[in-house]
Amino acid sequence: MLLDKSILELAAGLRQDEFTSVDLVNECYDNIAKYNDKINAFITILPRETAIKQAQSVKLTSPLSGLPFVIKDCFNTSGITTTAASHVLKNYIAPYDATVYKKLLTAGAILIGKMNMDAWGHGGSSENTDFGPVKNPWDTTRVAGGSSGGPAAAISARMAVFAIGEDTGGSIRNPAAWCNITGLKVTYGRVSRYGSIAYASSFDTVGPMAKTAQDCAIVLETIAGVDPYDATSSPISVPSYSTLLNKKVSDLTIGIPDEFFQAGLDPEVKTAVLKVAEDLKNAGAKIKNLSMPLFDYGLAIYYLIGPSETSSNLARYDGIRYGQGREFFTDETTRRILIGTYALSAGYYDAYYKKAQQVRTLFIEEYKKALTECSVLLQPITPTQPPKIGELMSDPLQNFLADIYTTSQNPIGVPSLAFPCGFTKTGLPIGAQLVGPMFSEDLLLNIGYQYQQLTDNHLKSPLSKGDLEGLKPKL
Amino acid sequence: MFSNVISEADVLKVAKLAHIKLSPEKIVIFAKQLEPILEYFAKLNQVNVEGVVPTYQVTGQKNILRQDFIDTKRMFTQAQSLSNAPQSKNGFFITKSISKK
Amino acid sequence: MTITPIIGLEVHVELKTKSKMFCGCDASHFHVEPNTHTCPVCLGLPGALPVPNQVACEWCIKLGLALGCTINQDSFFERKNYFYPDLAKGYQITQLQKPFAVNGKLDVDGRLIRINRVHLEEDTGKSQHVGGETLLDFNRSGVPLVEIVSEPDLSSPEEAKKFLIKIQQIVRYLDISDADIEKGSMRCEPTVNLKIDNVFTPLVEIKNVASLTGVLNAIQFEIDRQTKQFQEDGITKATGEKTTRGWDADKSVTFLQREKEGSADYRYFPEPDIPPIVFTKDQIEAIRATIPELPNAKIVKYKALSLSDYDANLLAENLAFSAIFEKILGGSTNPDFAKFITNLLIGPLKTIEITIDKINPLYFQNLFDKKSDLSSSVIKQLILESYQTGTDPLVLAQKQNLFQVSDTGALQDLAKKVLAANPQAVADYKKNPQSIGFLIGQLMKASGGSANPQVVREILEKLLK
Repeated sequence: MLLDKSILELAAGLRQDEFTSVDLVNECYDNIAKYNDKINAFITILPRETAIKQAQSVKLTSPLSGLPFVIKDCFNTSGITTTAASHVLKNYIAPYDATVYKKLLTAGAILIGKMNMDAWGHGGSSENTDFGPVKNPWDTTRVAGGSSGGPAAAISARMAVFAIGEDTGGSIRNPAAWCNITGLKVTYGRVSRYGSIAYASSFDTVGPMAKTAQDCAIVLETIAGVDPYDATSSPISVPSYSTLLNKKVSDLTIGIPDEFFQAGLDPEVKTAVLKVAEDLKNAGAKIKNLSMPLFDYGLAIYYLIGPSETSSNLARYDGIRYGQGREFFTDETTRRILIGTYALSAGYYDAYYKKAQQVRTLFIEEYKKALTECSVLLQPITPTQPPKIGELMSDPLQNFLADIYTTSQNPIGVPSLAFPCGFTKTGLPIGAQLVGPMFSEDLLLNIGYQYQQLTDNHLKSPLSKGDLEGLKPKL
Repeated sequence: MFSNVISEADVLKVAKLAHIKLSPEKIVIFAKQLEPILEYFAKLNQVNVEGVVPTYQVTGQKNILRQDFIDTKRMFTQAQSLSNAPQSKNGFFITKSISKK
Repeated sequence: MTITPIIGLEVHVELKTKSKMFCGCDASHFHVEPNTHTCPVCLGLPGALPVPNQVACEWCIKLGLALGCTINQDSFFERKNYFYPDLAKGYQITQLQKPFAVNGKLDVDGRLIRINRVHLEEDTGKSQHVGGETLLDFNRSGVPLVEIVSEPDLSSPEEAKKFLIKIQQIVRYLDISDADIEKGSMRCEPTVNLKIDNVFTPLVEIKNVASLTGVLNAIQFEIDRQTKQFQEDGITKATGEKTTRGWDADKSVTFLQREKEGSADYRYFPEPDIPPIVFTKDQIEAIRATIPELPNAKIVKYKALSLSDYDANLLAENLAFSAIFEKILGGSTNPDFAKFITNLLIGPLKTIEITIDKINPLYFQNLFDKKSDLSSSVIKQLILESYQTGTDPLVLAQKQNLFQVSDTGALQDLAKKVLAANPQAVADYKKNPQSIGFLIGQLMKASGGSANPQVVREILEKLLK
């Protein structure tokens, strides 16, 4: 299958006339036709004819030229419905382009879908959506993860070459882990947020999702960089990430924070994640155990600040200038708005919101300190294997606790690479994350690439050698 | 310091502030669902934050400002401005009148 | 019953920047087709982000400095969250904890009125209520506003009006806003309560005051209304609530708008999308250096030239006018010359539009030097003509033979002739010296109107002794 190839292989193949961009587009749409009904990854499938036309006239000016991609439906794409998976924006046709989208268009990439997600980013399973849950391609009775579940499932089921997701508290990393793909939560400010529908303004990051770390590196080169329309975007220059993947890991120390590997973590997940350290050690890296005692508080600060900012960011949805009224918010979204409004309200501001921002400061110090003792931190992504559909949504507190490993990085702003590190006995994917200092994407991608030279989890696909009927779990 | 119980009256008050209409049934349900979550926040009481300056942004940037010129590239025509309006008339957005500010 | 009005003013000034506060849209909105100056940011579209206008920040600091404020070198924006159809994002980006400027003062006729803060924020769109519908235009959404909040130091409606006029003058001197109350580029909300003997009445904020007269009348109405109300119900600030009342200019009354002002919970928090703003001392001083001499300082200077209060205020009314006066005055400290210029500027030259480039100080100096040879009406006529033609007024006077005859010899002869021709008038004078007017008139007529009246009087009085 062409879509099993890496971006570099595809770029080379296009240039050597082994196949055409139209071939790629057709393969994607064929897989969409075969599998999307069972997975429900798409909210809007762009017309095939339009994609083919673009593929026919594309100029191969960048490694991404002619490659079909999908984007989480929280990005404004001019002339195309943009819903954030909520009926509030059911009929909203974006009148402008998100910066990240514009950059990809300029690079000649071909958009084929706006992807299903947890509405407004509110969730870790892509079930909090008005468009039906996203099913996990590895087991369609289970969730794909969230909130960027649609993009992750699409990459996994070979419906697109790469995707753009958004991570506020694990939203790229969680579905990457449960769908067996690679995703990058970038440093806050590395990629412009302009045009990305805001969840939590000081946490939101825009990032690449693809089959491998190398693919993510190539996409990141194109989308990163300062944007005059986003005052929080970073002016730090963008390294050529794809040329910085070859350093060996022997100079590095992998830090293992003990508190992240305690009770509450599924034993199979724990084993698979810790094996990453072993594999890297075999490649020459050093391992160091260390302590991050504030671990316990990460969830609380995330769930106080995130909803506070979201309660304000969602105030613009009044159904007057666009969209429908606020009665269309789902229960989960409503809960987050209520929590946030409560935390900011008179009498509670100091005890909740301000306090959370103070603990945030302490967390920043703790991560800084931990990262002086090691080059990167190895952490699990999810406490469990992918749950059955409906399990998390039925228990708001469980749903909330499921984010425990991915909610401390966003308030700090540090980057994290999520990548496949194994499978459960029943063939469900497990992912791990490597967290580095601010603007260390080059280091993370380097380690990820080196790890993926030594292992093959990332090469496995839920699609069998032939057609996959019912997408049964595979070993 | 943290109230361990969020009452239905609290939920109603907060929903009003957030301009969200809730049925009486929903108010009861939400109060029950939010209670353990708000209790979870009580964990933060264990952290000593005396003298700690809150962090509202992690960029460390300052003075990201624009020059004062008109950006015609980004300005909408009237049609574009109104393109998603459920209701519009004579170039205006329309909504039912509510009480004054 | 001793009643003392306590008045505070909240003034909003719309800055005349080219672009809006947080986006590059054209900031003009007066007589513009609705919703034609919008973009994702000021329309509050999903995913849009604000980036502050540097000039607006500098102008806010400039105004703060002009009002004697301390400038906060570290400043940031915050979100004020509330719902209203013309508030596109459902929150207004404004300043709370760290405004650009704090603790200023403004001298209003010798009384120092304290300024609590001068901060920067964005305006909302415009709503028009027609029938049961509200029409919304977002051209004004995001236009930069500077908010000036005074302490409740004002003690009368007149003083409040004067305060506003001074703010208006300063803002116009700084050239940062047209500050036109009728057009809405300057808005004002008075807050009024009374001290009655030893207790205070509840605070009332008055909205919808659309003119200076309105300010005067609305505050006066409130003072009267609160006095009556207190006599009826005795509710004090301690036992009552702050309320908001609207001013109805047609009926000349305030009416209750919102019962409990205190119940609005804006949930302010620092704006996460905008990094903080730091101005160094050097940058602040550079801004200070662009502030021209301000009206109050000019008035002091003009009064030192022995100009009256009225004249000094008139000249200082706007920067252009005072600049013309000062150009003509040059380095002179002669009070007579100052008065001379003033009379011409607020007299004949007020009837036409004058620009500083066409003003030649020499012409004024020349006229002043020869003023005893010219009647005052001739001087007025000459200065107008000289401005319009660009010709030296003395040259004009010469050409048109306008110089007054001060030659006492010729006048003496004429005077003797006039006295001889008017024996009755001479007799009247001997009885009543005030009646010399008639004889002066006769001599003026005989001299063809060109005699210097003072000289004429002196000659006659001498001859009539």
